[in-house]
Amino acid sequence: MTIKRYIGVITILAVLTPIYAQDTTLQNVSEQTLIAVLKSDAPLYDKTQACQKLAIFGSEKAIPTLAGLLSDKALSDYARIALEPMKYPAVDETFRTALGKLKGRQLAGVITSIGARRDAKAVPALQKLVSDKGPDVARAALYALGRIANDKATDALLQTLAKGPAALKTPAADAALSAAKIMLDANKSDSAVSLYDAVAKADLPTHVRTSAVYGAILARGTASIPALIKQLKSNDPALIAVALRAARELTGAEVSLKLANELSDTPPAVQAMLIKTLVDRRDPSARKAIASLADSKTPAVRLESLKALGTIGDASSIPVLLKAAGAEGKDSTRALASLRSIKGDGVDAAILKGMTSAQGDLKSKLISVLSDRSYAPAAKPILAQAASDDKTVARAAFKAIGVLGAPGDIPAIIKIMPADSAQAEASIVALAAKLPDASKRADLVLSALASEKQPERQAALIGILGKIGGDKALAAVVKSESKDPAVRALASWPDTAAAAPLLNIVKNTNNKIHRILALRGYIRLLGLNPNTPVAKYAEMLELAKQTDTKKLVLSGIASVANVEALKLVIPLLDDKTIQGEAALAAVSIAKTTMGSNRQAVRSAMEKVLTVSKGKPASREARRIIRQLDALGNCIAAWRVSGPYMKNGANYQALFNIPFAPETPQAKDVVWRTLSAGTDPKRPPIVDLKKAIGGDQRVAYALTWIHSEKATPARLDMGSDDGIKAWLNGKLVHAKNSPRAAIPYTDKVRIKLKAGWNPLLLKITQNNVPWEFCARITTSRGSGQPVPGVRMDHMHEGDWTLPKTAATVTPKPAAPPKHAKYTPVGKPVRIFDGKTFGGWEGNLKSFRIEDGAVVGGTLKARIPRNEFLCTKKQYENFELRLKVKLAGGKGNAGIQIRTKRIPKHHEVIGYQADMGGGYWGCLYDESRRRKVLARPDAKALAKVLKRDDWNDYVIRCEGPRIQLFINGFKTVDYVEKDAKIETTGIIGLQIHGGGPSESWYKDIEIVELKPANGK
Amino acid sequence: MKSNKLAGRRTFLKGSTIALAASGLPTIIPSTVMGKDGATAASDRIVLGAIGIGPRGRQVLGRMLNDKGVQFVAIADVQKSRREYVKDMADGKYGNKDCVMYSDMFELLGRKDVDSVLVATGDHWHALASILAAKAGKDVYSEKPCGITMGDCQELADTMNRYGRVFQAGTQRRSVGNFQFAVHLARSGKLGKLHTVHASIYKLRNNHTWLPAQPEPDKDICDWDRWLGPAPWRPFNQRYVNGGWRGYADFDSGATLLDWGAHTVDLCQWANNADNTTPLSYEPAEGGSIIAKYANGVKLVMRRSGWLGLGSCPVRFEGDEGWVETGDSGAIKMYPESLMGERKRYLGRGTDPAGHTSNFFDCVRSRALTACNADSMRHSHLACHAAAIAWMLGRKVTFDPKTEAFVGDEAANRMRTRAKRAPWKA
Repeated sequence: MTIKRYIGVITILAVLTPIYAQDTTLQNVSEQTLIAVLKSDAPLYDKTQACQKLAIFGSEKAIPTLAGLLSDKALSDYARIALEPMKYPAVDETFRTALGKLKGRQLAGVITSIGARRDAKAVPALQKLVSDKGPDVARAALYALGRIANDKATDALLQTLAKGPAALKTPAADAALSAAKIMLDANKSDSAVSLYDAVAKADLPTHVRTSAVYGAILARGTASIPALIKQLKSNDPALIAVALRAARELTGAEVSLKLANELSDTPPAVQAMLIKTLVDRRDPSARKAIASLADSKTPAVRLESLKALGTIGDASSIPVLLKAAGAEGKDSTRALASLRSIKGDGVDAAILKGMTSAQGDLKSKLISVLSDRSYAPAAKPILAQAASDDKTVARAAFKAIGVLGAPGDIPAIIKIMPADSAQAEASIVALAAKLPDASKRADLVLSALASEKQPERQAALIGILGKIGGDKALAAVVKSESKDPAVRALASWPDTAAAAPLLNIVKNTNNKIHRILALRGYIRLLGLNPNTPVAKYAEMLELAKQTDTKKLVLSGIASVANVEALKLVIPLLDDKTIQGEAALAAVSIAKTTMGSNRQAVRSAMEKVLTVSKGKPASREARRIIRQLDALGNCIAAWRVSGPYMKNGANYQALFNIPFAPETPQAKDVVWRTLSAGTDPKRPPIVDLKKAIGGDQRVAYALTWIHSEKATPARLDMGSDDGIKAWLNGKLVHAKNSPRAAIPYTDKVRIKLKAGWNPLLLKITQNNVPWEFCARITTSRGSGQPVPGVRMDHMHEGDWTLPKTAATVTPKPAAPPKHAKYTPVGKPVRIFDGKTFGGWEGNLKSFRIEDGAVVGGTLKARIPRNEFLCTKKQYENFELRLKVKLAGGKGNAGIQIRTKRIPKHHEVIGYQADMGGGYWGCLYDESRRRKVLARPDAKALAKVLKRDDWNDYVIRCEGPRIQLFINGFKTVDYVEKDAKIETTGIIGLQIHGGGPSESWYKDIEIVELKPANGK
Repeated sequence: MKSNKLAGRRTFLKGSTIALAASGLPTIIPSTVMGKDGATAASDRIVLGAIGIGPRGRQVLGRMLNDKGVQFVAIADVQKSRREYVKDMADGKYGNKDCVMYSDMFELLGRKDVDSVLVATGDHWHALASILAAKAGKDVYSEKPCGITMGDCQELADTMNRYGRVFQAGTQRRSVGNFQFAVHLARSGKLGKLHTVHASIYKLRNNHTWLPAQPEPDKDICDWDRWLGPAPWRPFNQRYVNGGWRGYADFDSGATLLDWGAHTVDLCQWANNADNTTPLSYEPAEGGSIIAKYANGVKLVMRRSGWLGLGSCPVRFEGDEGWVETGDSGAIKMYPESLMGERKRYLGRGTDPAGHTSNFFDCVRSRALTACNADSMRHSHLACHAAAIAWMLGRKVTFDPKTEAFVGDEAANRMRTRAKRAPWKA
């Protein structure tokens, strides 16, 4: 074995990704190699990498070699990287021995490593090194002693603190502080305290001493409370800072209590900070003391106290907060916020009591606090306040009762409500909605209406009925004598039940205002149903005689999600009086329907641009045109049906349940058009959540694909969540999993027939979002559209699935018949493992190592493709060789039936490919420049060793070329183009690009002839 | 009463200034303490310095320069061009020529008037620069990842605690509204019982190669020895110091997992109320994912794909009654949608450190714990490193958050630390 080989191994290791993600045998196999590299005259880089690998996998065997490198200027740190994490006691010995041999930086480094390993046996040597003249060495020794932290080590530190040179005092103090913490963690708090105290007293910078004071407080625990309090009152900012921090960390209720007791006696600015600290301690014992500062003269303290009570307060804090809530400005805001967040028994009752006795503005604010706290027992007392003469209070009460009250409160509310109280009306509607039986929701209001005499109050009740809705309410409103409120109520009706009476009013009333109100209401109700026929709007446009009413109808048309509605709008773009509204309606329709007729939408938008220059509609129109461009070749329009669901079946179960579109009832399915393009960031996405909504259900989507000729293609999809696809009634794809829709994650090869091909999708929904996308592309490209293919979701034809479609799997085609070939003689080795005899090529790019041809290098970029070629030509043959790509990186391959391009580094011919997604592919180099055939990636992955040797077999028999990797047939290709050369050289490639190496060995060939003897 | 000590010190001295006011001495009460608008008296501003400022550092420093309670005075950077850039930036902002430039950070750290430092060096210097600053008595805002090995993170947190310093890890999403809201939903039980938290990560890489050697520049232009600092030596190449150090294992952290993981895993830790612990097991999974499990049964999924497109750095929290996902765009999606309440959207960007820097300065004043303090940083960074080690080893690892060691796993344990180049030490 040569050193060169070792380096090869190392360099390969260096680029593995992940570099260490190899089997555990690596460490055993390679350690010897790594050590050999370190002993060799290999380049520095290789040695550094060997050290970094030994750091992880090295055993005791590596120690002597690494020890030798500790004095090596370039490698000393690397040797420490390898040695420092090794558990072996021999490493400690190695480091200790090195102390006597090294100087300067290398010595300092080894001392630091001893510190990291906490080797107590090194203390005597380290003690001496503290007085070393080199500052790095002395400091390192102090650091190491601080890490070792036994009594002897700390003695040395204390000595330096007391008598050492000035420059070493701060490093010694730092080491003492870390030693103290180590001792504290080891339950030696006495030793820790004496170290802290020594540092605190020494002649050192303030921040170092205060750190020691801080450490000492924590080490002494509760015994240090008096000292802590003294510091808080010291007026020394550095001491106050560490005292506050210690106050946060010391545990125990006693600490909170004692600190709280001092609260009133500390300076105001410290008070504010101390309150924060006490709140963070979450200890209720501080509550009283904090509350007592709620009337501090210092605003910052007052506000901090009020804020704190919201977190640690209880019922006893309520009077303080109520008082502050009644004050001015920030105090009130803070107090009210705390009243909203405060928790505890009796808190709500106390706030309620406060509300009852409060006056004016405060009363109304407390009513809203109680409402936000959802305190139901406050409903009755609050209802009583609704009768207040103070309008602010009454308003707040009417509003709160809608949250806190019950449907039974409705009569009482009606009794006291003024005729014009929006809050009261909203609350009655909210309370009525709490009744589970929808048919009874209007009853209480209806009976109140029956006995109501005052016209104004009657009108208010009719208005309320209009918001509650329901058959009884509708009947009452329609026959009501109070026409004006009745029309208004109908116009704001919650569902389409009021559409007929409204249309009746539009057609028959003589009252202009009623007509407009009814029209507006009717248009609104039409909009509630997405499937409203466009003809209904056309009818309204006919009825609309005046500009105002036309505008109204246009505002309704704007919400129609049907591209046909554009036809109504486009002519109106020429009418100057309503041009603006027409343009807005056009862009609004286009936004939701752009995919269903791209051409119509585009020309409509172009028209909008000509009539509404500089207006918002034109900006939108331009955006929609851009969006149309961005749709690309996605299938942008679908007929969609759903939702379909089944009790107890979740989305994953629903995936396998056939609903109407999959069954013989498919023809009766009701479809609606849905378009892609609604999400500007993800144009191809079709949003089912917006169109259908809900959870645990499925929808179907249907479209037609027309192809001029039969052609292979690819169907790309993405879905949230699962998806099934049937093309021409055959299941071509099924994925049942919860996921986000990322465009085109799923790709399946399909065959399009000449003519129309129905495509049916089923998309399952777990919970939000719910969406999908799809496109048809060329079968092997990166998403290019297939020429001669178009879609039409409105095409009529038979798309229903055959009964067994869900389970049919396509039968494999019968294998084609090929002529038989037999060997001529025995296999011949065409590479002798030592020389390039019989081969030619750019030898700068190829070398021989370990009996293998190696193309390229891992140390530099590969400037361009290079080939090492046989001088001999072959036609029909079986070529066997072993190949690998170092580190699994790069690309290479074996040229067959190939010609050199004269005076050029490239060649022309078939290539049996290697690397990335090309392994086992048959590529046509410099000719058609494409993959002619490729293996099934999953099957290949089972046999392929990406970064190790693979057996590659190439068999050429007339027009047929077969490739095998490790016995798996990757490609069985038959050349149809008779003009393509069948004779040529064999070439080994290294591909241009990043550093990579291709290895080839054991290359043998046997020539073949047709079995019939030709 | 040592009143002479009070007069010069800064904001936190508010307490002291009030004391002075009470004692009748003329003084200005810092308005920021009192919550009023307006300028802070010069003597009460927090004096800030910065160490190692590149593109990201400038974003953070830009926010800090906007803070009227802060006075930025000096930049230390081993690269001349970067020092000068920052000086121009600060002097332009303040309209003076006062910003002092240092090549050697020790000169900056030796200044007694400097209270706080922003550390935004290359990743391999974050921990050591922060540690040295703490030992010099400074409060520290450090860009993430705060330590490129587990050992660095432990030393950093220990030092901050030992010296009682205020520390903010630059995981600013803890101070951005949409992320806070998502975490609130997880922690308040609004999603039901939390079962899975998802953190986005990049494709991991672990590059051990060296760039070709180039002649070292003049020390004043770029001090290569100082730039390397605690990292193992390698020959100079301009690309490293231009920001191209990213991805090189000696300078980057955890196979680059912490580049995003320091943010997203940190948010997951917070959402799982796990700021004081880490997951117990880590296992590489399909598609470059790593799946970790906490003692409370919650699963942490670090993954690259399958996000809803809500901007970079997304996280997702799932409970048995709902889920929430959000990212840097401020957009937030959840189930049930009613959890959103009345608020329509969040305007803040996940990359904006403004909220995080002001939280830092508030805590410098009040000595309270920052949004991402040393202990939170320690645990979220340890979780990231453990995940990266699992990925590098290509197998499951088990980690004990109490001892902060892998269980029965020598190789993984050795990967926790890396000896620093002499004479650097924590």
